[in-house]
Amino acid sequence: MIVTLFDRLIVMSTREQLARPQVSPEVPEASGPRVGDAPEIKAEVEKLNFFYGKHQALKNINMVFHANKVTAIIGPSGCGKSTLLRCFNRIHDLYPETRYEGKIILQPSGTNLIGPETDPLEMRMRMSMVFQKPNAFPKSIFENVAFGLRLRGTGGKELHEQVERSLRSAALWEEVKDRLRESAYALSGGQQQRLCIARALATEPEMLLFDEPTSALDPIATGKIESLISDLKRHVTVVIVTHNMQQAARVSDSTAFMYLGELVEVASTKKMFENPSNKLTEEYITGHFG
Amino acid sequence: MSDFKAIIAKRKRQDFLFNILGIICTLVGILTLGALLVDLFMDGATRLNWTFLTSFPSRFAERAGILSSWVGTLLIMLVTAFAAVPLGVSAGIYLEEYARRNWLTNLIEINIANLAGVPSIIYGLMALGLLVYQFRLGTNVLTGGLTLAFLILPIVIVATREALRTIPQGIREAAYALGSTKWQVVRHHLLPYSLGGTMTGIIIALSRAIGETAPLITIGALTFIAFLPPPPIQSQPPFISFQWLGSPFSVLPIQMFNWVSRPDQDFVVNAAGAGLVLIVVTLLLNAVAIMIRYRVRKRIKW
Repeated sequence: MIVTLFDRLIVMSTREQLARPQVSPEVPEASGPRVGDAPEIKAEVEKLNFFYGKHQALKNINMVFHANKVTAIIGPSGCGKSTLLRCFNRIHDLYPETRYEGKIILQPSGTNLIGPETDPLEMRMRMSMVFQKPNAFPKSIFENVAFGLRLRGTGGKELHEQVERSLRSAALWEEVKDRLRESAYALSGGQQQRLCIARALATEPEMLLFDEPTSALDPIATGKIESLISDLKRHVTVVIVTHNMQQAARVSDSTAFMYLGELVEVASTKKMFENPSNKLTEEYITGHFG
Repeated sequence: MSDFKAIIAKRKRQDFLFNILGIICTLVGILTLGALLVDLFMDGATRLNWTFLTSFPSRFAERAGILSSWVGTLLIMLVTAFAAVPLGVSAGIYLEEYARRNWLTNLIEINIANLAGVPSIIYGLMALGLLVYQFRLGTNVLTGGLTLAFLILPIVIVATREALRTIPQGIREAAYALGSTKWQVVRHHLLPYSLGGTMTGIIIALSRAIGETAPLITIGALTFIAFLPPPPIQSQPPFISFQWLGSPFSVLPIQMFNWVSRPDQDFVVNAAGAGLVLIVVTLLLNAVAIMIRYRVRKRIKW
């Protein structure tokens, strides 16, 4: 516990040193709807239940994800936050005895992404995920970013341009431009995670799903990834699962708190951390459990 | 304090004793093997020369060579590898990546592990019944190679599965998350990343098959053969011929067995010469396996 707190302090101070332009806290974010500026909805989760065999991991989840915003999902271990995230690219379908109930409607196409008529493969082509542990392929840096594009039939000059653009968006281009043919495993952990972000961006996904992306990284690498996430929302809807509340507070526009498979509260991040309406949320955020 | 010293001294003695015991046990293994190799070398080296490698067996020990048996061994290994590798690797991939876990796959899994331990002569009996009598394929390079392929199939399957299991699940999830189908994950990721482990397993399996005698004698391999199978490459179209598959054969260990069982001491020396060739080939195969493993480990660290 002490170590974690210490880490967070370091993270916070490094963040200040990096001097990322802070969003003025006075400007209301995704919270109270403003006239003429209602945030666009990217995904609606309706009455979502999810089962691992007989165990129900998600219970009646209802919430919306706004387009071009960062939504953080927080909660103690085992609360179902990663399970919820992994519904979005149907990665659960890889494992036996998993079952969805309810709907996740993706806008503007109106696709129910967990519907039986929807091909999991299609959803995985439309979504991208960055995982907890950097999981670059043991291939060259270039091939890592190019793989998703090759699956989609991109080649030639276009492939090279798109790889470069993705590496630039992931703030990695300057560090790797002279060694694209080298193994991805020659990179540091933080660089590998940014490579995974570049790989995820290359396919121009509708949503970018982060599953505790910094939990295996040191504070400086974490700071880089966090500022990257804040930049990325201009192009893509971001969902980030994190066990680090300070991280949720720093990067997200709205925050959802989950507990024991249920969605306890979802609100603008500012409201969530300053004035949560649910007692359980308040206790979790103030560190009384979790 | 003095108590501590006594206890420490006692425990250090135990340490020392086990150290000595360990050295002795290790030496027993190494020295025995070393003595065998040296003995084989002393006997066999006198006989090892170009004529020995390029002559057919003969009634006269000094004229006898191992041409037909090393060519036989080579061709048999070729058939074994071409049959066992695609079958074993595919089965391993299927069981590890495609098959759903249930009682049937569990049963298959346990039995494959058991098959790897079945005595090789049983495989010989099965091949005799199935290939020679049932399918009437005869006793030739094809049936000999297939017999040994059956023998090493479980080893190849197990090695493939082990190699696939060392690939972290996160790599599979990353590949699927980008929209790969199962086959694309296997083809572009799992196969290349597990190649080192699979190749090592295949080579170890082949180096086991190369020394097998019992199953080949069971199906009726010859012990004396004074001609070579027809060459696989011909001067007339279609240039490639598979006639050699139907040719009778002998292999190095059978040749050795045959020579050792003769009363004439000169033939026993011939056997040592053939044994030396066999052991050098086996060691070379193992060296290749170690080299592949080393190179892959340097490239891929999970």
